Amino acid sequence: MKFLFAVLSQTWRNIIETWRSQLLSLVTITLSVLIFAFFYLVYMNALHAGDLLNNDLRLIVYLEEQPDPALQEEYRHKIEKFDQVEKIDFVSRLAAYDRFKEQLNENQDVLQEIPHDFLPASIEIYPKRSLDTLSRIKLFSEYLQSLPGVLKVQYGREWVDRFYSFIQLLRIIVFLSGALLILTTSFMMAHSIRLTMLNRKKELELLRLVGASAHYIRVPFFLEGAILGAIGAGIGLGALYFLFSWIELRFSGQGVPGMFSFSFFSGPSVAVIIVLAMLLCAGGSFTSTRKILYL
Amino acid sequence: MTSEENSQAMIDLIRVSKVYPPDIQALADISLRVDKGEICYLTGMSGAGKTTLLRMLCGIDTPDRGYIEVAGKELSKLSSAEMQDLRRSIGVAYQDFKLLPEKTVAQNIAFSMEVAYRSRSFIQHRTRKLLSRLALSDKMNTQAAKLSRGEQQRVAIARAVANDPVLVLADEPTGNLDSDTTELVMELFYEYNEKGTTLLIATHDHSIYNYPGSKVVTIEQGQVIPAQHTQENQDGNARDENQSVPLSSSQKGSQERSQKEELYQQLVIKDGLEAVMGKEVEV
Ligand SMILES: Nc1ncnc2c1ncn2[C@@H]1O[C@H](COP(=O)(O)OP(=O)(O)OP(=O)(O)O)[C@@H](O)[C@H]1O
Ligand SMILES: [Mg+2]
Repeated sequence: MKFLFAVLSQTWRNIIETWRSQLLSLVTITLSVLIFAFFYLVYMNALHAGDLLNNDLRLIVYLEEQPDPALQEEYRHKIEKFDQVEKIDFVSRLAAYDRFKEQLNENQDVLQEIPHDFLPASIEIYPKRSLDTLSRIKLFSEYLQSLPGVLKVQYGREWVDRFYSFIQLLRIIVFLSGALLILTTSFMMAHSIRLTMLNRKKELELLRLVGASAHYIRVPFFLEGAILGAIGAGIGLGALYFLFSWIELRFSGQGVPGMFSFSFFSGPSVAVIIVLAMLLCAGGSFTSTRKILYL
Repeated sequence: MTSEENSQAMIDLIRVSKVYPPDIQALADISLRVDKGEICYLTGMSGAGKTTLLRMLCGIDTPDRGYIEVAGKELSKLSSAEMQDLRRSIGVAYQDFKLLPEKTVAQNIAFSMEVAYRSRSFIQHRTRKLLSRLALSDKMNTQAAKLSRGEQQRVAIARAVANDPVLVLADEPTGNLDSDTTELVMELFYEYNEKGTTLLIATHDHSIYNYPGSKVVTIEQGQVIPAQHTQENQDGNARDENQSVPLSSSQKGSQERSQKEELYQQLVIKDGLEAVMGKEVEV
């Protein structure tokens, strides 16, 4: 308790005395968080859009013969052997005919002369909605094509492939900006704390001489790092939210398809980003204060 | 040495040596014991090794050889954290003060209490009291850099005693003070001593080591000069005052050792002369 109080007041004093020299690190942290959070937000929303698109995503396997229940079971078994799927529907020739008839509406009479089983039976497969599915959908369709009795496999190949590469690219960018965030914040913090320590070398040495424990000296730097991290991340996320609201305001009601409706980070994600930045900064400052132990 | 004796000793140095590069023998096989509650004056010429000795006692420097025990703790065996614990219970007034020039007097004094997690009210109260005792009340919020040397010295002393240490190491505490101010400082020291604080004071100032019951140790070239020697040479009346303090066994031991050391020193001097003159010399 006494320790906590002493350490907190020491931290406060440090910040009051050195906040000017910490401005540069604060700007760096803010920018890093902003860049990372921006790409992460785009990525999250792209994933979300992908989810929505996935609703329409299904593979249709046309069969040569109408499968009897035993064969259906066998197909189901083979499909699930390749991948977990959301749902498998068997569509009989008659069901396909009915569906087609419904789609024709008033023009149903063109079907009059045609036998009710002219359409092939099919299996409709709804894959699990995940990125993995997107990446493997081509393999999946090739696998299905190789099953006995399969005429043809259909899916929205074009957009799936494109969307998948887009997501891949985003993923790399998010990864890179995350790495940038980690490097800049922790190094910047380590660097600026090292500078502070150099400036206050005499004081730190004296603290050791009068018997200050290592924690008494180090924890305030640690806290200072954490606080700077929190402020930097807070400002960065705030700026992003501002940008986000502005974009939303600009483009709302201008016919942007609902599918691409953007959403901001959830509360927990915001908390995670802030905590992450705090840990990075605190970690950075903690490493630079290690040599205090040898004073 | 029995454990009872051991628990009596605040400081126990046994055959401690320190050589600074290139080959300055700052301490040469020195042994010294200061009991709890004692006042011990460490005198000797400039360069004799007084500061070096104090540096060893508070762990700023480590000896090349020898055993050092402070407040029952053998220094070489202490971990870094244990050393810090010990330092919080030792007050040191450094010869070069080691004040933070841009901080105020009050902040400088608060330093030694803050690291011991003293409450803010304790710190304020204690700082005020010490400053008024040392005639510095009006300087409380002055930057240490703007003080005179004598004032800085008193601030250093105030910082050393502020946290109620069990041991105070004072290096030349009255070096920059006039006799009236010296008296203020010594009164403060005596008061702490009466409350049980052990004092080890390195000084050139003959006027301050007349306090009854105190022990005077003279060092020369890193070695202790035998006690009687000191009293005959420097302080005629110290003899009868010292009767209340019987010579401890280590003091007797150091007398025996010093005879050997004299021989040893002669040899060292002979070596040195020969090196300078380039031929053999009779000593
Ligand atoms: N860090 C050091 N490096 C090299 N030599 C040193 C160092 N510290 C002290 N010495 C040498 O050790 C010897 C003892 O020095 P010390 O400071 O202990 O003397 P002192 O008795 O305190 O003298 P004074 O009364 O002038 O303060 C001196 O010759 C000094 O030059
Ligand atoms: Mg000295």
